[in-house]
Amino acid sequence: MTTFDAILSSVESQFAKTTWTDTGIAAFPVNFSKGDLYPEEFVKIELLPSTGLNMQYGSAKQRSGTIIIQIYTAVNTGLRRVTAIADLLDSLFYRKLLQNNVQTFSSSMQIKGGNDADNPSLYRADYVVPFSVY
Amino acid sequence: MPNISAINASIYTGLDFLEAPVTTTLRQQAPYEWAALFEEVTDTAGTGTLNQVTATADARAFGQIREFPNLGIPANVVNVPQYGQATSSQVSGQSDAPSLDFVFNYVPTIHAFINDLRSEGTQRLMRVRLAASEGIRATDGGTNASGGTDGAGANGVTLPYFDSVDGMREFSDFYFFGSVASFEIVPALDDAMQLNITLTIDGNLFGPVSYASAYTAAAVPADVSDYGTPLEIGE
Repeated sequence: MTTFDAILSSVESQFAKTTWTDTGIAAFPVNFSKGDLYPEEFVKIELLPSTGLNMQYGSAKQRSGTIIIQIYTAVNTGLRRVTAIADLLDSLFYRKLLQNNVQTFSSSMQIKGGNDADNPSLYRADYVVPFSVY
Repeated sequence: MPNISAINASIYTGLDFLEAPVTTTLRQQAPYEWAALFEEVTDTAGTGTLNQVTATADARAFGQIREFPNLGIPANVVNVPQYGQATSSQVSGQSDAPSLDFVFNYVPTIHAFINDLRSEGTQRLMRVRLAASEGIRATDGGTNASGGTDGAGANGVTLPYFDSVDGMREFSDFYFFGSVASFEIVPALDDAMQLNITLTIDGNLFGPVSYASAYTAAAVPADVSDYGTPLEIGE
């Protein structure tokens, strides 16, 4: 009986692991603004539980969706830092079984076309990984 | 009407069986007596919104079912050539007993018992309960949502849901005597692991049966003798 809230908690708890905290990169949820106080590089956690699965009789809550980690780095620093952070996210999300039986699959990275619209001093890319919970 | 009376998706359909092996006495019993071997229905109307149901110590659920087979006896149509005619005619021959192929979302700790059943090869009384609405889910020896204390091992057995206002939610039962003939695990790369099993059926399929229609606060029967007269599919 995995709820939407439990799925989000499973994703967020990955960022509490030392693998991530040791990097010092800040992680924020979407729909949260720090105004002009954002650090030079950070990530935002976005969750799209898009599909309800009908693959079992009974009351089991089975869903699939996409975890999107928005990666923000400073402009004019090239792509290397973005790919390094994406590789770091792979160690947390690539084909893992998270808490609450949330299972992730193969990841991908999408370059969002340059500087962030809200803050031109930031460059944005998205780390995308599909998930299912049965 | 507790027997299903409208078109709907059977989302809450379950497959249960009795742990006790089949006996001659069991074969001779009526479906309402079989129902009583799976569950006990207590008249507690007026004491709360839910009437108490309890899974017996022998009731077991297969659990995590993904696909059901066609339930019934398949046709065996034979073409008969007619001399001098442009087309042949057809007659209905002796039907083959069906093999019932079920697919489960495989969980080793839950489904280990199925391979034990296959190894034993002994028959059990099986029950498919077709249901479009949620019933009471039996617990493993604990207290279920209706307040009944289930037998140990009954976890997941589908029990009737009926309250003192709306009466009983609809379901239709089918019974058969069968045994597990195959047990095949299918690993998966981007889907849940699956378990395919085949149940062989001995005799006919009995159903659809359900409790009588009068399960309301005003007239809750004291026992399950109003279970209805089943069709015997296959005769």
